Amino acid sequence: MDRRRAAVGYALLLPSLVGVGCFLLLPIAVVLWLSVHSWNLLGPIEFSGWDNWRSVLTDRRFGHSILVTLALTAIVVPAQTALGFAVAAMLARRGRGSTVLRVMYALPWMCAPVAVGVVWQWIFAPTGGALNALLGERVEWLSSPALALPAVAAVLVWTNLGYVALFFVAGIRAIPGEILDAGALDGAVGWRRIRWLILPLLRPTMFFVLVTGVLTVFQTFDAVYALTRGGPDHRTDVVGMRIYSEAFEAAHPGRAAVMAVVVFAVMFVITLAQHRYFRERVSHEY
Amino acid sequence: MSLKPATRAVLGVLLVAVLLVAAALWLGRDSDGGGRTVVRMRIWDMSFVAPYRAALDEFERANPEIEVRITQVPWSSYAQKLRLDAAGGIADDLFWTNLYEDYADSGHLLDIGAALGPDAARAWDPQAVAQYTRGGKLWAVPQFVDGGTAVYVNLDLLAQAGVDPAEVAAAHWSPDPGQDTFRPLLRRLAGVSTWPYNAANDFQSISLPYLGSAGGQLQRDGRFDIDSPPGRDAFGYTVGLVAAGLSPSAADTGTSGGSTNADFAKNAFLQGKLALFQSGTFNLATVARHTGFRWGLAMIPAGPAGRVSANNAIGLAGNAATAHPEAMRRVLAWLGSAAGNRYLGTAGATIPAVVSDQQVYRDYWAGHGVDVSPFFEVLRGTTIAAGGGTGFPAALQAMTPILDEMYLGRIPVADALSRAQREGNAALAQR
Repeated sequence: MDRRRAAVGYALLLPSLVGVGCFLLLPIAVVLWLSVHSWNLLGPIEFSGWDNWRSVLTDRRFGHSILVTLALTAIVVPAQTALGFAVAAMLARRGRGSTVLRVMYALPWMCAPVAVGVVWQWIFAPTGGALNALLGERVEWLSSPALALPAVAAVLVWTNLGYVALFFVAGIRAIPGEILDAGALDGAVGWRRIRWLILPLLRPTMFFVLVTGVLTVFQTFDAVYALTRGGPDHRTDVVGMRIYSEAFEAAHPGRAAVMAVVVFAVMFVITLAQHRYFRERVSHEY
Repeated sequence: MSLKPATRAVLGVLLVAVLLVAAALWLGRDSDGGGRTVVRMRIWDMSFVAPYRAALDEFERANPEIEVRITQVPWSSYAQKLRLDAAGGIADDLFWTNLYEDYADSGHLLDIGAALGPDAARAWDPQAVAQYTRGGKLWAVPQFVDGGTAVYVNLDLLAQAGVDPAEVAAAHWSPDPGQDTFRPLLRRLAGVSTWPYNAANDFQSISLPYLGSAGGQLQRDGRFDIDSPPGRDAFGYTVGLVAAGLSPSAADTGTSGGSTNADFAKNAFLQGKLALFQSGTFNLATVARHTGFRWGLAMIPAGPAGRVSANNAIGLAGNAATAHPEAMRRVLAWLGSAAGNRYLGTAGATIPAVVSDQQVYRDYWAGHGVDVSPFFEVLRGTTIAAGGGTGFPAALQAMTPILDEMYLGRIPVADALSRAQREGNAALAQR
């Protein structure tokens, strides 16, 4: 009977296993395999040993794209986390219309990133753009070396804000009222309540938001593709864009595969570091 | 009879799997269910669907056992998607191409000469045939030629500025201000228009004509040759027009600010903000349909080496891995014939590649009061090759951001040309 139950269990798991195998494990294996092969997508595939690795690891442009991505992460993740928390603090109150507001904040995150990028491109357009019309002066947001990355970052923050806020709202609402009431008796009200009660109790949520935030920014491609295509002069050339350009514009999927593996390693190290940091600081259960 | 829940679950999973496989097989079928062979054809321009459909309807009436389906893939992703589909073995049977060398060299294309016979090419535009000949073989059936580049002129703005249209046709650009009559003309137009002209990082309509009319060429012996005295003259002149405010800022027209800026100049002309719009026949139908002012066509300005234009052609390539070689051959033969190719010119969409059909295009526009001769006249002199070769698309991708920076005025012309040439040749050398 147990063996039959187990067989049925495996049969039910089969669709998921096929999905994981086909769409996760197999692509990972293909990427690793491609990283040691030379191919232009049309001609024969030839084993090239470590050539792709050597050329990518000594490629200044790839190093530059890692730095651009780190800079974008340094802008986007703190900004979306801080703003997301601020929005969540307001949305957590169960006032009239708070559900509608939560949906509105989450809408940009639900939209297709390319569609968001196209809309923002019009907003940022130097001639006839909405933002410049509002400001009353001509600013070349997306072609200025100084402004392009912050402009892209602003779009990403705007897109992710609602998503981040929703997690904080759930976290805040999960805090038992008794803890907050007891804190209030001890004088923890206003900012003190946030600093000494809510933020420490939100560390698991904070960990999740920061980890997914970093991973999301490292995987950014669509918005950059629609807004700047990595320009001007590679100032917004994030790794996602670089991998795309290498694979599909330059037709070097082998080099792109190496880049993908390197980015995976970087993301893994960052996530591990975040995990260790928060593990040592999450000390409560409720 | 009632089944146990576990048995029902397993049967459910199996049913879903069978349905998925059946759906996949149905979607990938090669016939229409009525026994007809389906030939798939891929193009990038939506405006060609109607003339092609008309041509193919006639073909299908004569060949009822074949159905031809047209797929339109946007130009912005066409090259990447085609390459990926070819790599995955799912490219359409027929597809438009202009940069075909990688495909021909890797055995993905049908040898047109072998398929249609050596005489087929006699009817086609010789320059188009030359463009699609590589290694002594023809790799595509030319469908249409772009013709030369001309200048769309807003006659109302010219009248306001007191400029005779004949002055535009006689204009001469030169790096020597003493001999330059074009820039003074643009200055006069600056008083009545937001922008007088559309100098920009526009490969076909601006870069090639200026480079050619300065006496330069894009490639020499398969390597880029823009870092040359003619190159510096040509790009120095056009970059100077942008810097002087006689053309829109490169922040508006370049690729650095996003992917939709390519149409900025066209839209500015349609809105009556641009007095002179240098472009090709591919914008003629749009201009004719959407302008609310008097307009006309003039020859491009002559340079130190005269008036020089590129004459690009688009060809229809056959997929060597097709499952229906005979049906595909018949479709190619029809679309390359005078009777089949004629449809592309009847509504003025483009200049058919079959030479005897080209008058159809002229007649259509003459009937609409448009003299298209500047597109043809400019090709009577010297023409400039639009470049090509294995790795050419990747090379252009590498060069474009540098030329964008040059037009933005952030890299001096000589430095930018040197860097762009180096990067372009490095990309070619990686093949």
